[in-house]
Amino acid sequence: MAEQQGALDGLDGVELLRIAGETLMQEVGPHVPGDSRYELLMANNAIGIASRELEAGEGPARAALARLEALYGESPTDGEWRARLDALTAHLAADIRAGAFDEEPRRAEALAHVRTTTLDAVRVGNPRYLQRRGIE
Amino acid sequence: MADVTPLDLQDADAQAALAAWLGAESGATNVAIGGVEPLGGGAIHLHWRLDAAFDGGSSEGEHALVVRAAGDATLAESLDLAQEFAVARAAADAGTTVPEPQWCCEDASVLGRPFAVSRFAPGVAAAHLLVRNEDLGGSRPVLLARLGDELARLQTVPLDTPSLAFLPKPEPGPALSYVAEFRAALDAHPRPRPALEWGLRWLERNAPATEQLVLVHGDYRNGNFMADDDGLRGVLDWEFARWGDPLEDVGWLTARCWRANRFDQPVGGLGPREDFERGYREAGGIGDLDPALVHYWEVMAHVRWAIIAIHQGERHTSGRQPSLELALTGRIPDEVEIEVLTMIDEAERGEFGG
Repeated sequence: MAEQQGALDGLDGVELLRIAGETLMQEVGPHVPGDSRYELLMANNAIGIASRELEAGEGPARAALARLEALYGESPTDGEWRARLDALTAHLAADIRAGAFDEEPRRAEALAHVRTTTLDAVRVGNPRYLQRRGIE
Repeated sequence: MADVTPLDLQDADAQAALAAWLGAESGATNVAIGGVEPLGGGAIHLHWRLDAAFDGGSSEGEHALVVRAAGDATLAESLDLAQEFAVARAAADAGTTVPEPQWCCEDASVLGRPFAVSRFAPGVAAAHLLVRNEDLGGSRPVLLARLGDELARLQTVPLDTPSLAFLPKPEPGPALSYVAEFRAALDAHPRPRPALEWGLRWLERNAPATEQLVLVHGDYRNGNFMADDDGLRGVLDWEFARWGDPLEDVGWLTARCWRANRFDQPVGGLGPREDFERGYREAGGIGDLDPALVHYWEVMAHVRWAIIAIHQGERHTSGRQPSLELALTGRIPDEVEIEVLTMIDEAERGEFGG
């Protein structure tokens, strides 16, 4: 409920990070000497990543777990979902290395998951990269 | 490296020690040092530019020099100063343009740490400056052809060069040796990376045989090319040199991750492949610039950059070197992974040269 309350009064973490970044660039930025400009831009970039990560929430990770459970034919379970995601991700990494996904149709199934997971991470980390490269 | 004495070459005692050592090495009766300025750049070592006037000896006259001293941190995979000096010397002897290596001092009693001295190369090396200013390097076609020419010359360094006996020869070959090295790096990292594993599996299954090992610069990209309006003045940073495949440096140079966001300019964001390839071929480059093979080494370049970026992020998260820049670098592997997956798709569709 607290989260919903925050969203309702418009002062959730995403909004705080947004105004922090805007203040940094518009109010502080003009006073920052040229040789510290790079640090300023990096700090603003970090704020942007943190904001997008917060906004994305648990959704991408939970979706990744659902895809992995489907890939491995395991039924969804309650409880420690993050630990389960980590374990299945480690399993997938080892299976890829061992060649378990060399042949179709398993290859396409695994690749679709890997690609979606990676895209979700770049949407948080550097969405402009995807636009510049015409990936989305 | 444990407990290294801080070094400031703007300190008079350090300059006197350096002057005395330069005098002894060159046979000069006196060496006067002035105009010492710290230089940026270089991930590991400390750099200063200075003017030195030699009275007599083998270096009679005034010279602008660069002193490169061992940094406090070392990267396990990089060469030490003396090894790097030997590589740059061999490259210069083969006709590659490098800031000419002059002397190397492994005796830590002189400046408190090992150091190397080279001639100063004028110009700028920052990737974005080269991208922005088309006069740097002469003109674009001239610079690009020159980059091919330089690489072809470097690849003539004989494999049995005695001064380079310390450089290991990759087993069972450059490509598979890299795959093993990168897998070991991932195993030492707590977070599994399925996309990089996907790339490594593809690199393993498609590994080309290397017919002839050559000297590889190891970081031959826009950012390590010192240039001014007269042309290329020096290829910098030899600390990642190794024996490897003739196309390793080509793939690193043309990989999308080193194009400064100019994705339509394959050679370091500077221009098209054709000028570079012409320069390489005309200088007798031995590598087969088959687009599929170059593409393979570009995929390798992306995986390698992702591994390096993961390592840099760990320098921050481990607490050894808290740094916003290192922390942000640790987030770069995600976008590099997308490129790896995209390039594997391209390879399977037979689309090369993008």
